[in-house]
Amino acid sequence: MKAKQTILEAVVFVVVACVVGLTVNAQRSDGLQISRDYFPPLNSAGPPAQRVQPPAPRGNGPVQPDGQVPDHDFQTVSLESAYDYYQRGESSIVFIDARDDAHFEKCHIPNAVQFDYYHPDRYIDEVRDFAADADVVIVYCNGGACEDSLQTARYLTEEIDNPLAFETVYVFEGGIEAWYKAGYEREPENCKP
Amino acid sequence: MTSSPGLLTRLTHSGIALVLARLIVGVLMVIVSVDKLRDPVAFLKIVKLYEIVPVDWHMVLNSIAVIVPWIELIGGVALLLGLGLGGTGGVICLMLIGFTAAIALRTWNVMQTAGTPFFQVQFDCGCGTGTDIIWIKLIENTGLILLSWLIVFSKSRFLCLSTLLGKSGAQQALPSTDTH
Repeated sequence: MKAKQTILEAVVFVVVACVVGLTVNAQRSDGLQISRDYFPPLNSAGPPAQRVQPPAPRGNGPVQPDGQVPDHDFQTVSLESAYDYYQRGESSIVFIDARDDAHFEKCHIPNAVQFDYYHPDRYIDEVRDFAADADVVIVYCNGGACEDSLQTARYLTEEIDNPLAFETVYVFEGGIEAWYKAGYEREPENCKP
Repeated sequence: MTSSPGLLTRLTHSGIALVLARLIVGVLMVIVSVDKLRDPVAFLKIVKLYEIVPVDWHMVLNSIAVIVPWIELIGGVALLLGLGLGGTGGVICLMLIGFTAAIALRTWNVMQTAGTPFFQVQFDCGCGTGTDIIWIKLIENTGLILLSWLIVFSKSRFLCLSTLLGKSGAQQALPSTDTH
């Protein structure tokens, strides 16, 4: 009798939690799309990524020692080359910041346009306007094991309706962390990511 | 002559041990749910890192990221109020066992790939408490599992809303075993 009651309580509890969770998520503007594949493969073929120790994050951020940058087909750009592009200041060179509002507002590369890969509808129009005539697009996120920049590059050039036809897309794997450590310009001034 | 029950037995029978267990597990569940509810994307990334399900199973992955924080929040509140203790405690106990096993497996992976000694492994386990020293986290989780086990199997329903609402089969506290 008690076992039956316990099982019934457990079932009711889980069902209520599922219904409430999915309902609230559907109403939230920052909710997840249950049917969306947020982590599709980034390369067409090839062996699995070798485990590479990512650079240690600065400060008190979460430590993910087993995170790794997955295999991908995108061209990457070094910190020095990324800064070289930045210094040219040409409107045909665009930096895209693939992080959420909180991280972007805290610290980003000057004149970068934000694109939160997990909520693309909010940012796609601005990215299209901003980068319509771009020849070179450099996508970055936090750096280290963060793969948001890779997924953003893939999304913008392959997944969306009318993919953006940039001449050259680079992924800056060092991210804002490497940019900060190098002491390069940031917005807001002297911010810490 | 019968010996009087020990302190632990009297504590358990009085319902105080259950109330303490409910308070500890309930409050912790509510606290750890808050961060996950505030930032579902961050929790999704952590769930993916654990490789609980293949990344191809994206609907299952997304559902876990959405539903688990609500299991924690609703479960925590139910424990604090004393509603459906057997079932709620059981689900939370099973969830804690699963989480702890996943943390242990990930710790093993970190030790293998990064060569980090066990007592130096640290990472954000997705527990809502930032970066944790993992051996301490494993001990904490084991304690929570034992407390939730107590919640499931305790016969006391001291200070339970279900008792106040007059649900059948509940008892306020076990009768005293003192035979003097």
